[in-house]
Amino acid sequence: MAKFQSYYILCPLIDQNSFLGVTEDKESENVVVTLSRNVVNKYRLSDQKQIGGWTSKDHITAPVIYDKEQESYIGVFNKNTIKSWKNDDDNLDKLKKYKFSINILKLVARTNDTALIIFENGNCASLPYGVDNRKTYENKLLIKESETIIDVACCSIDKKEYVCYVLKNKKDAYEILTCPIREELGDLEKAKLNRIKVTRSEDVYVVGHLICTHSKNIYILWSDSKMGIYDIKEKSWKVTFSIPWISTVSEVSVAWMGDNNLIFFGSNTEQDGAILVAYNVALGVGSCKYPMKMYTQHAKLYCFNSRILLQASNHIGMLPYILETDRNLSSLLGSHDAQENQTVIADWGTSDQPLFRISNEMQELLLKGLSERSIFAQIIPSVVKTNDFNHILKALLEFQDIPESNLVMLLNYTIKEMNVDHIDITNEDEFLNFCSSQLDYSEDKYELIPKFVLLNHLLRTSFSDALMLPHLQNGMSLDNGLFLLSYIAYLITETDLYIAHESIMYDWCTLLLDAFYQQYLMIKDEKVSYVLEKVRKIVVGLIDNLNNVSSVMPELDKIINKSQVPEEKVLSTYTIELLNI
Amino acid sequence: METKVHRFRYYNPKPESIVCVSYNKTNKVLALARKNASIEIWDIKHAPFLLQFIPGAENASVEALGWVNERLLSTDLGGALLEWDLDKRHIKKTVMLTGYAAWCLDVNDNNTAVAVGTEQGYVNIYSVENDDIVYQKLFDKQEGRILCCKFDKTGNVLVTGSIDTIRVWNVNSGHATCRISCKRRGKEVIVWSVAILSDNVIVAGDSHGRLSFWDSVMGDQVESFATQKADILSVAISDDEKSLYCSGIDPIITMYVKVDNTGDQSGIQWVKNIQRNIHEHDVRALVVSGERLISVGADGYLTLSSYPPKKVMRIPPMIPSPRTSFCAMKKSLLLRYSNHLEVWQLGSYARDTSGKIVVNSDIKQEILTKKSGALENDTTLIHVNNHEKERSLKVTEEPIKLVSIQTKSKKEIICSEMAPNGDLIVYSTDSDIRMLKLDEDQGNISLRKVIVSGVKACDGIVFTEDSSKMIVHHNSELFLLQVDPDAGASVIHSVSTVKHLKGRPILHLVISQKYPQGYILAISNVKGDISVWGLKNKKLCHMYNVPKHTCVPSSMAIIDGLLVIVYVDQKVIEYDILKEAMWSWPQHGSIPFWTSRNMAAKTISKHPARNAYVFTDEVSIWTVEKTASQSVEPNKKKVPMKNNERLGVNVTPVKYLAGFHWIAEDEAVIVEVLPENIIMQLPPVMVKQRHNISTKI
Repeated sequence: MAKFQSYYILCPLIDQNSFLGVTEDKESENVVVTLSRNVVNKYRLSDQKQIGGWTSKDHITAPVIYDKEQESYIGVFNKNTIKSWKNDDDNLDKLKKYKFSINILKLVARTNDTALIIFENGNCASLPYGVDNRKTYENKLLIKESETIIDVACCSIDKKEYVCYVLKNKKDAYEILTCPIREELGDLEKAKLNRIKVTRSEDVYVVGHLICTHSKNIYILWSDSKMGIYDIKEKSWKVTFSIPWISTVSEVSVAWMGDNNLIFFGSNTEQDGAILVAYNVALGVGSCKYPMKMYTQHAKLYCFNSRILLQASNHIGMLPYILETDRNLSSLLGSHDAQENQTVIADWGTSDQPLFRISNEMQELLLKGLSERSIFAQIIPSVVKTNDFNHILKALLEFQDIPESNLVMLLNYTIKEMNVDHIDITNEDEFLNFCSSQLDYSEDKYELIPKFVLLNHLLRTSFSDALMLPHLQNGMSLDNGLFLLSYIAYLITETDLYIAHESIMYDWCTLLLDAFYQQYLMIKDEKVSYVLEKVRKIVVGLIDNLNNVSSVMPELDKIINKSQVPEEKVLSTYTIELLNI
Repeated sequence: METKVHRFRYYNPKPESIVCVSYNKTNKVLALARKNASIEIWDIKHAPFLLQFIPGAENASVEALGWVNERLLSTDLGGALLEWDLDKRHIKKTVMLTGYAAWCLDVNDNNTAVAVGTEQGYVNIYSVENDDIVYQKLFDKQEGRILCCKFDKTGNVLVTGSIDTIRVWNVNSGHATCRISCKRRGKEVIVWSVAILSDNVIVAGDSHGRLSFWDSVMGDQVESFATQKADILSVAISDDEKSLYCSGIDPIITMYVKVDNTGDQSGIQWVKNIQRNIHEHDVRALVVSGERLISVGADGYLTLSSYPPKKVMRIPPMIPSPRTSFCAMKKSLLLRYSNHLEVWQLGSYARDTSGKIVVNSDIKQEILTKKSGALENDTTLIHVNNHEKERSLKVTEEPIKLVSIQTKSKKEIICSEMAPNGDLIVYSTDSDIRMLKLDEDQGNISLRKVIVSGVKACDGIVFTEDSSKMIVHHNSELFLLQVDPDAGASVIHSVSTVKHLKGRPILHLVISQKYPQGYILAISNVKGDISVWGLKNKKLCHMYNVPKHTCVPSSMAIIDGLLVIVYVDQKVIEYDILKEAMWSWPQHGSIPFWTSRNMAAKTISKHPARNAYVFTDEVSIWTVEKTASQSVEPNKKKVPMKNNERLGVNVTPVKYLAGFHWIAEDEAVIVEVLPENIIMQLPPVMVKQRHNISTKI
C-alpha cells in the first residue's frame, strides 16, 4: 500500500510552458531540472537545496540528461545540436557543438548503456554512433507526417533493448510503436517493427498514457476510467482496470511509483480541483489519494527516490511516499467498487480445481466448504489412532493452519510415544545422548527417529501464542513442559536452525515459561530450577553474543574507513617512562 | 641521559574534606580542620607550607577554629572550648560551655574575648586575656541553635545567625538590640554565615543561596542578591571592606564590590562583580588574605586564587610529608597513610637479548579536552623542559604489595621511616613508637616486632647509612638508639635541644652520609631555627646554629659537606658545615624562572649522574645545574625553551607528586596521586543544570 507524506515545493517554475522536464542525476537523491529554455538546475531532494546549475544562451529543447556511461550531462540545443558537459563546467556556450542535419526530439538515458538520441522522424541512434555520423545520418521518415511522438521510452526485455513510442495523429487516434534496437548503433531493427493501434469503441478516448520501463508495459487510460495494459514483449493487451477517485474527462498524467503502483494526477471527480491517486496494479485497487488545489493539463509527473515530482502551475512540487508490500486487508476494503456493466474477465489460464492434491478422506469435508482448521481437527484423531508416525507427519504436511488444541495434543502424544519418563533431564549427558539419537541410525534407536522428526515438525509449525496458552496450561503436564523446554534449549544450542525456525523456538520458550509460570514459582523441584537455570544461561549467552556483535560493528566500521582508532589515554597505575630529569 | 622513571600510582590515601579555617592576620598563619578532626597549620606568607599537623582522634570533631594571638582555640560538637598546645600537639585547656554542641566561634579584634554559639541558643562569652580562658558572660537564651557569630570591629556588637533569624547583641549588656526575621514566604531559612561591616551593615548568606545586606540598627533589608543556586556557607570580607566573596554548596565563588556613586552613605551599593569556578565540591570556608582568596571545602584542597591577575593554585589533600621512604637496594617503597603503612616492591622493565631496554612503540598522546563550564585550571607553571614524546618501557613485573601495617589502636601516624637496608620499619603515633622487622623467606613475607626501649614516641626519625643507629626526636630531646633487629633498639644517648631550638616542634631532621669523623645532623623547627649537630663516638653534640632567615625552611639536605636549605620564600642557601660559611645559591646570578615558583620545595637531592640539585614540590620536579652559566635573564613570557641546556633548568610537571626517590644513576621512582583519584574518593556534588542536561559529576 502506498502512503503519502506532506507536500512541499522543490523549486518555483519560471514559465510553465517552457518547462522541459526532470531527469535523474548521477546520485539518486539528486535531480536535474530543465527549468526553461535557458536554465538547468540541480536539486537535492532531501533538503530541496539547489546544488548546481547552468544557463545557456542557446535554447534548450529537450530535458538535459545525465549519461552514466560518459559521466557527463547532455543537452539538446536548438533542436539540432548536442552538447555534453561535466559537473564542474560552468559555461555551456563555450562547449563543443555537435550539429545534426535532422531535428532531435529528445534524449533518453539508459541504465547500462549510452544515452539514446530520438529524432523527430522516429529514428533513433546511440549517442556516440549518432554523433559520429551526424552529418550523414539521414533516415527515412518512420512516422507519418500527420503523426507526432508524444511519449518515448526505452526498455530492455530479455537483454534486448526496445524503443517504444506513443504516437498520436491529428484525429486524436493513438498508436503504439515498438521496435527492438541494435546494440552499439542503437538504431531500429526495422524488420521487427511493430505497430499497434490503440482502439476501443467510438465513445471513449485516451486521456493518459505511460510507457513503463520497469514493468515493460504501456498503460493507456481511457475516458471511462478504464485502463488498458499493453505488454511490450507479448505484444498483447492484458487486463483492464478501472481507476477510482479521478475524473477521466480531461488529461491525466501517469507515472510509475514502483512495486506495482501507478500514480495518477488529474482533475478530481467533482472537477473542482486536482487529485493524486496511487493505484496498485497487482491488486487492482486504488491505494491512496491526495487532494490538490490546482489541476494542470499536461502536467509532467515523475517519481524519483521515493518522491513524486509534479509540475504544478507555478512550481515543481514534491510529495514523498512510502510503499508497503504488506497487504493489509483493511486497506483493501471498500476500495473495490463493483462494476456492473461490461466487466472484462481476465484470462488467468488456470482451472477451477484446487491446486493441491487431496486425499480421499478430505474430499468430503472439502466439499462442505470447511476451513483448513476444522478439517484438520476432524481428521487428526483418526490419524493419531493409527499410531503411524509417517502417516501423521504426512497429514500434518498437508495443512498450514493447524488448531492450537491439536498441536498441544500432538505434542503430548509424541512426547508420550518417545517414552521420555525414564530420561533424567537434569543429567546433561544422558539428555544430550537421548536428543542426539535422532541422528543415530543404529538398530536400537531406529524407532525413535520418526518421532523426533514429528516433534521437530510440530515445533516448526506456526501458531498463535494467545490461543496456545490456555491449551498448554490445561493440556500439558509440567514434566512434558520441562522436557519440551530442555529439548528446545538443546535445539537452540546444539543444532543449526535457520532463522525463522529459531525465532519460533524463542516464541516457544517464552510461551512455555508463561504457561507454567505459577508451577515454576510454587514447586521447589531441582528439576525445575535446573531447566530454568539452563534456559537463563542460554539467554544470557545469546545477549552477550549480541552485545559483542554490536560492539564489534563500530570497530569494524572504523577499520574499514581507516579512521584512526583513538587510543584511550592509558592511565595505568604503574608505568616506567623515559624522562629527562 | 634519560632517566627511567617508575610512575607509581597505587598510593591513594583518602582525601579528608576541610570543615573550617581560621586565619591569623598578624603572622599570616592559617589553621584548618579536616573532617577527621585533624588540625593543620599552614604558613601562607610565602609559598603555602604545612607547619604543623595535629592528628585527629576517633569520634572527635572540630566545628570552628579561632586564633587569639598565637593561641589556637577550637570548638566541637561535645560542647567544649579547647585550647591547643601547639608545641606538644595536644589539648592545653578544656572549658565546658553552656548549651551543648558548639557550632561557631569568633574572637574579637582586640584578642580579648571569644564568643561561642551553641545548639541550645546560648552565646557564651569567654575572656581570653592573660593566656587563660575565663568565663565572662552568657547572653540571653534564644530559640534554636546559633550557627554563626561575628564581632564587629569594636568588639561591642556581636551578630549571630540561626534558623530564620539574625540577632544583633550588645556584648556589654548581653541583650539583643535587634532581631531580624529573614523568613521568606513561610519557608525556613537557615542563616549559615554572617559578617558585619564597619558601617553597621550585616551581610548574611542563607540556605536559599541568597546574600542579603541588613541595617543592624533598624533591622531593615538594604539589598539582596540571589546568585548562588544553593546554600551560601561562607561570606568573606576583604580588609578594606570594598569587596566580599561568598560561596557554599553551589561552589561558584561570587565576588561583590562596593560602588560609591555619590559619596554620601546613601549612595553606597554592593554590586556583583566576578564569578570564579574553581571548586567542584561544596565550599565550606573563605578567607581573604591580602590579594589572595583562600577557599576550602569538601574536596579537601587548599585553594588560593586571586583576581586580578586571575590565578588559581591548588594544594591537594595529602598526608603530611615525608609520606614515602625508599630502599634502593631492595627497591621497596614504604607508603604512609593516615593510620596504616604499606610496603611495596617496585616492578621492573624488560630488556631485550642484547641487554637494551625495550621501549613501547606506541606514543601516547595526551588529549586535552576543555569542557564548557569546566573548572578553571591551575595557573600553569612555566614548562621548561625539552619535551620529547613520552616513551614508556615495557613493564615485565607489576609492583607487589608486600605488607600492610595497621597502627596500634588505629591512631594516626605522626612519622614513619624505613631503614636504608630496607629491613626495618619504624613509625610513631602521638603515644607509641613501633619498630618492625620485615623478613623475607623464599617469597613469604613476615613481620616481626622489634622492641624499642627508652623512648615513648617521636616526631622525627632518621637512620644512619648502615642502619645500625637511629636518631629520633621527641619533646625537644634527641635520642640516639642502637638498632639490632634481634635484640631490639635501645637508647644509648640522649640530649636536650631546648637551648638551641626554643622547644618548638621540629620541621625537618636530616642526616648526612658517613664522614670519617662521623655523621652530621641538621634540625629545624617551626620557628625557622636550624641547628647542626655532630654524631661521633655514639655521642650527639651540638655544633652551632645556622643564622636565622625571616621564614621557615621548606626543605633541607646535607649534600657533599654542604647543608642546602630552601626556604618557603624560594631562597636557596648553601652552608659549608666545616668552614661554617654560608652563601645564597647560586652565588652568581639567579636560577631562571625560580622566582615564578609558587609551591614550596619539599625535597632536595643531588642528581646522581650530574652536578645538579633536584628540587621537588607537589606539582613538579626541578633540576638545576650547578655549573651552568646562570647569567641568562629569565624570559618573562611562558615560552617553552628549546635550548634549556643553556639555562641549566629542567622542569618536569607531575600532578600530584607524593614522593620522589632516586633508585640508581638513571632510575628514579615518582609516587603520584592523580587528581582523578582524589575526586573519585570524594562524595558526589550538587547537580547542576548545564545546557538542559542535568549532570551529576
